[in-house]
Amino acid sequence: MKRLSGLLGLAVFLAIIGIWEAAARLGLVTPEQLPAPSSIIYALVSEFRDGNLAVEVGRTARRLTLAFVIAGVVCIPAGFALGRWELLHAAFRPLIEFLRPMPVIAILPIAVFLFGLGDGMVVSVIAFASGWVVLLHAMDGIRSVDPILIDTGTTFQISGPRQFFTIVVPAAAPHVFTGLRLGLGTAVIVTVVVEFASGFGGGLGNYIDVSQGALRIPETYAGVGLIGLLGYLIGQVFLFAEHRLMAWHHGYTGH
Amino acid sequence: MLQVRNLSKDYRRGATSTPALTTITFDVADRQFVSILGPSGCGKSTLLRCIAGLTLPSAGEVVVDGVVIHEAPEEMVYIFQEYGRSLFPWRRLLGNVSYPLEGRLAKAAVQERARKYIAMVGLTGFESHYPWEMSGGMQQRAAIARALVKEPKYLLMDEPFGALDAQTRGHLEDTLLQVWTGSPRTVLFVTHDIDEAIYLSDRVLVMGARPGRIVEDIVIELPRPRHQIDTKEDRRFSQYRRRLFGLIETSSAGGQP
Repeated sequence: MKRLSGLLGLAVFLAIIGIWEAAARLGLVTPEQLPAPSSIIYALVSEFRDGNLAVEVGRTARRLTLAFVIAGVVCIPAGFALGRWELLHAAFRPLIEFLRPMPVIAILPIAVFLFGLGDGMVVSVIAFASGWVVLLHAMDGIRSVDPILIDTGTTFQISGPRQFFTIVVPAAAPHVFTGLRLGLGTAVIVTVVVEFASGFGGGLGNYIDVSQGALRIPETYAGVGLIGLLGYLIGQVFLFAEHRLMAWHHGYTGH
Repeated sequence: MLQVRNLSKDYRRGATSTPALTTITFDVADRQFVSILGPSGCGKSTLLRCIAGLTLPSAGEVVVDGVVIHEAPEEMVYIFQEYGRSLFPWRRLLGNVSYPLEGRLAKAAVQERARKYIAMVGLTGFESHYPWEMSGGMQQRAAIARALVKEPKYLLMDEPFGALDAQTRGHLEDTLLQVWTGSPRTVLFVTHDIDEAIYLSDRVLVMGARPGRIVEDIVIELPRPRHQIDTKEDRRFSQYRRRLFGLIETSSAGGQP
């Protein structure tokens, strides 16, 4: 059944590509509007062969990875601390609620002031934008730990940091993973947006901006397709890791 | 010896304070199996939590071997009614049962003792199963093994078999009695089931509701080892049953006619 639905999905995908190819060849759409998939694939292959595109993919992937790691390293412990100490949460709540809904485009100029025009700026904006959801899920994870688990630790004289690391953290881990997965999705989007908007430093976002400006239409489409593919692959890798590490949780909740 | 002295617990909601337990006093001799029997909502679980150091009493004290307790005492382990929520879903059976000993003994010794208690509750062969892969009865066996592995002097059980079907429940009662006979320790067993209280105990403390208090203290003089059929067919069993039934009826009516 699972295999069948996988095949169905692939068939629909290929059928749409086929219809698109036919429409382009029959002249129903102009190459300026929507180039044929074959010409997009041709552009993709030749751009990779020239080595241009591999460099851009590398830049995007590096920024994304760096920013996501920073977001995780900063926001998971911060979320844990906010979840554990109510006073800390009360102290920082207004600030968090003020900063969290800030659109990426609005903080871009601030980031330029702070970090200059460079990768530091791009990475910090991605980390900022994707970190909130990680922080809030880590915090919720700590707060939603079943009190019976805590009592269980207490009756075995396990308290303090030992209780935190052997009971609270593992119990909160599924929430943390959900936060990371959502944060990763945001990070992919923000990386491309910032590369596109900042107009320098390369990367896939910048590549589609430049290609569009130069009216290199198949190349533009190739860049967009590659962004989709990159997002999909990163998501799959993360899901695989999550399933491996959180196998107990999927069994426990029956998902 | 376990002593409960003038223990009271009030629940505050805003300005009003409702007494949940009032001036409860009793002693439990070492190696005695004592049930606390009462209608639902009489505060028997609250009493057990206070004794275990999981809830702070409003007044009075709990004395364990001559020492007034202020936190969960080392020689006491509490077994929860919600076994499914008390076991760690991220640990396999062996990991769950090993947990209380980790850092106290060498790894090999921890595993050896964990396996011993897993065998004692009849779960050998399931060491690498996760709790959620086991039935309710098996989960509560796992929770009992995890409590016993610490070899506590006092075992506190809060309606441990309340959520199980009758047959599983009978099996677990017998496993518990077997373990207890093998190495007698003091057991405080909270239940609302009259038959269960008589069947297991040396002594039954009957609680009344609103506020929770001890209304009767009955010694069960039935021979051991006990047997699910023979013991329950004993004439004295029916007499205890009749007496306890009457007491529960009166106390759950809140003393009102």
